[in-house]
Amino acid sequence: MEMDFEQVFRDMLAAARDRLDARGPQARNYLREVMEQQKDVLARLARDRVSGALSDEDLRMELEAVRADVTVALEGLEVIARETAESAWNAAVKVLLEALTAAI
Amino acid sequence: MWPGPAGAVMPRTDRMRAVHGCVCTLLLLAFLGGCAAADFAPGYDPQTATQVAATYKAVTRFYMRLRETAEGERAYAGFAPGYDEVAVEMKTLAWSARRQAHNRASRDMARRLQADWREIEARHRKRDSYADALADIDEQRLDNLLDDMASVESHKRKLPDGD
Repeated sequence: MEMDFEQVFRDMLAAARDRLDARGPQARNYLREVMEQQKDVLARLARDRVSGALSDEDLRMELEAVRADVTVALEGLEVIARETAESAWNAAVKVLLEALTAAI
Repeated sequence: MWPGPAGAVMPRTDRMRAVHGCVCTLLLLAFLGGCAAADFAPGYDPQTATQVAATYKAVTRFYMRLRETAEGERAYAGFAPGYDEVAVEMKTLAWSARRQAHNRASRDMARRLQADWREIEARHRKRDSYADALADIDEQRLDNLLDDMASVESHKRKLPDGD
């Protein structure tokens, strides 16, 4: 049986795009989650510095810690991106294998 | 001799060759499927997920004990064992995250938690006190990191169809 590879490739792209569309919002949601968390911490830091509950040194140390925390928290985006890419690739390969199975 | 589909007779050796060809094709497809399937994302690790919860619990317990003590009576010595308890949970979490491939994010988050905890303990030891305002912020920062780790772990879960 003949195999129309151009059509198969279009189907592969469509399958990959479906997965990307389905998983795309996950990265955005994670980023929003991280930003919301830090908003709470920063608001508390500002309030406590103004009230005098925190010293300048406390504020400096906490801000440095927040910067380090956010840096590693954002690495979580890489996991989501890898998951998404893996899912898209596997969906495309599945289409190719189904086409091959039908053709052989 | 074996009867063919339309009553024709297929020699036994031809039929065996056909079956053999089919099996080889299926094996080849299975092999190609296995080779072509990507595996560049870390897999879900229930042990890490469980250890995130255990660490969260230890941190919560530590700060509950801290708040039960009046702000002016929080000398470091009274809390040293509590620091050790949390440090053990964090070290176990870091070990768990290290075991997996492609797991840089969780590994770095676990290391950051440990570094955070060491800094908090060093400050407490140096000042021999721990103010409520700092405790609230520190606990929230640790909770945030643990929340992020839990969230990342949940993203690693593969859906049943391999999605």
